Amino acid sequence: MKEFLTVLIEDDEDDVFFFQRAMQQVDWPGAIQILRDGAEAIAYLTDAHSATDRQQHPTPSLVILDLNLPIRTGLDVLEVFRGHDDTTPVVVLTSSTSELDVRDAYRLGANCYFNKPSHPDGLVELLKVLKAHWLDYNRLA
Amino acid sequence: MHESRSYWMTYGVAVVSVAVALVLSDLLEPFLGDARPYLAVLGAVVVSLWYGGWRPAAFAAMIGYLGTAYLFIMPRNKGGVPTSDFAEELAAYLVSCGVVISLGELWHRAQRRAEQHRKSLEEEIAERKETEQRLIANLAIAQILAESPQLEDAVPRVLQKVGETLRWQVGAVWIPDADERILRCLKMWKAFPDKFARFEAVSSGRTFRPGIGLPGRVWSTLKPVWIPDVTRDDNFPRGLVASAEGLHAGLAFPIYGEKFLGIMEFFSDEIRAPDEALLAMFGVIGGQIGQFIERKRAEEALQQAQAELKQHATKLEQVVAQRTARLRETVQELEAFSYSIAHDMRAPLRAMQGFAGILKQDYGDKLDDTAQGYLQRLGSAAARMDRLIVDILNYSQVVREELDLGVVDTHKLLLDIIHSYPQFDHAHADISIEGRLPLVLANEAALTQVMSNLLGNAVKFVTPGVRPCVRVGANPEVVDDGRVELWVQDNGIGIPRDVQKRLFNMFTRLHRPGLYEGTGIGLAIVKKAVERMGGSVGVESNPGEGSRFWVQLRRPVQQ
Repeated sequence: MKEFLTVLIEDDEDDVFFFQRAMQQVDWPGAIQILRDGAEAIAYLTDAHSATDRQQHPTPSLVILDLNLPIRTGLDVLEVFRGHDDTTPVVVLTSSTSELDVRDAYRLGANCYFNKPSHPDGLVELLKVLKAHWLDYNRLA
Repeated sequence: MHESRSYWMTYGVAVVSVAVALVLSDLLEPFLGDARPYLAVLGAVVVSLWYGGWRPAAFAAMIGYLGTAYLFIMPRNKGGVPTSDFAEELAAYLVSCGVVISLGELWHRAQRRAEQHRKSLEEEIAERKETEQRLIANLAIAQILAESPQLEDAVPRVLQKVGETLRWQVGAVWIPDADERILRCLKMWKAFPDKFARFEAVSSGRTFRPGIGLPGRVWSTLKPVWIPDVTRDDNFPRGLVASAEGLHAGLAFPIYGEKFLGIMEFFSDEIRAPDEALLAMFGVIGGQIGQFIERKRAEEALQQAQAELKQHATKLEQVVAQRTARLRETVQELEAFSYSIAHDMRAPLRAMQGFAGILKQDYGDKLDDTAQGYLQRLGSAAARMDRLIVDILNYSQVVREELDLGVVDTHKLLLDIIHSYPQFDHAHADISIEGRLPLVLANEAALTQVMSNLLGNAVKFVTPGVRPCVRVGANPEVVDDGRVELWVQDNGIGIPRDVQKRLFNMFTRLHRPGLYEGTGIGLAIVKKAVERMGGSVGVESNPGEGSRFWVQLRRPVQQ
């Protein structure tokens, strides 16, 4: 069985730092691939799906996606990704509270939608839940 | 018949007839004897009667008798007295003459009366015929004027109709030019297209000053003019060409309404004596046409004014639409802008909060109390700013998003709010609902925001140490125009009257920071949301006596 690969698509350095720190705190398993803008994310995710680059870009096990990204938006990334892969879970983690974003995200195939907690402790709590849900209990395709 | 013969002629005929009768009697005497000496004379009386009436006949009878007496009777009774035969014959003669003359005269009179009757009948028929023609022309013109949408359509048809009905071969309309110095030919009509071409060319090519020619004369007098024969008129410049083309009678009349508008003229190929009745009729027709023209001009002016007005209104509408669209665009841009700013502001804020937390977590044991205190204040400042941003986002959401209205059960909504927010828990406050709250027409999410903000204020603004006691209820009466009223009554600190008016404005805060935390946006959200749902909001309060906030919303339409 291949190693669990979490792809984090997040442009904010601080958020990346908080995220990595919280992951350590909850003992998040496997590898983490961080992508810092929408275009990079789309390139990685589409390449990852083609067989030739499988070694260089392993298929993600879980995608954690921010919506407010430079170059291409998170919703663009989601749409393109779902064109190639409709089984890997996508967790939207964003500061956007817009109802419209929530609807669009689910419509384009997100599996869940969270707002970024304003305190690091909140993020740790959230990652505990995500870990329990997606890695401990949930069966992935 | 008799009237035309001269007086003397009739008597002359009488004398001649008697003379002839006497000669005949003389010649025939050998055959007739003297039995009927007056017989021939009686014939002369009849001839005179036929030719000259009863007076010459009586004269003939008299001289006939004298002649007979002198020529035939006297010689018979020479020197003697008249015989009884003579008296008888005289009486018979007189009676015969009387009878003949009377009969003749009676016949004459009957003849004359019949003649007169015939004549007057003929005259009446002719007159009626003419009147009829005029009526037809008049009617036709009225009809043309009524039917024609434009002056240009009416003028040629009027010319044609008058010409055809009243037997004029050429017609023309003349109108004054812009500065009213000359008349110019506007339109011509001819009964026969291939005739009067030169007259038409000359007419349409020339102009008339006042007083000159037929049109000019009518212009200066403003009265109809009739020329029996234009070729013999002193003041008819087109006389030569009219003569060459065989036009004679001419007629012209003014077209006038409020003012002089032009003249109409007609020509005939025969000489015609002036007809006063026809002239009078043309005077009336000129007035009718003039009124028509002025009415049409007024209508055209009105239509033009209306068209201009409409155009203006359309332009104005376009301008308004354009500006509205631009304004809407600007507002949308501003809203999107403020939303994204507020949004982007949260990220660094979260970082500040995050790093403050991490610092405390990882290095807390190495910091003294003062440093710990600073970290605390850093964290709470960031939290305050975060609340502010969240409130601004909520406000802009309320402003921006479409609020679809539906039937909302306010009772259930209030219960949900009270149960889901920790600050409304029984541990912190007493919140009670009085009676059954009504159904309203609202957007559920927006109304949740409104009621939770009001409840939040109610439990927040109490004197320190006092347990909040909040009652929520509905006015049992329907307020004006089918609205219902919800109210939230608290036991808080109350609101001074002078600030109640600006209470619902953005960023209105009535307390120093520290005592009551708040952003000053909560009630602005309440007001905006309620108004966008077609309702209204207000407060009744006095310092120290608590506050009562009310919200009026539309009632759902009864099924």
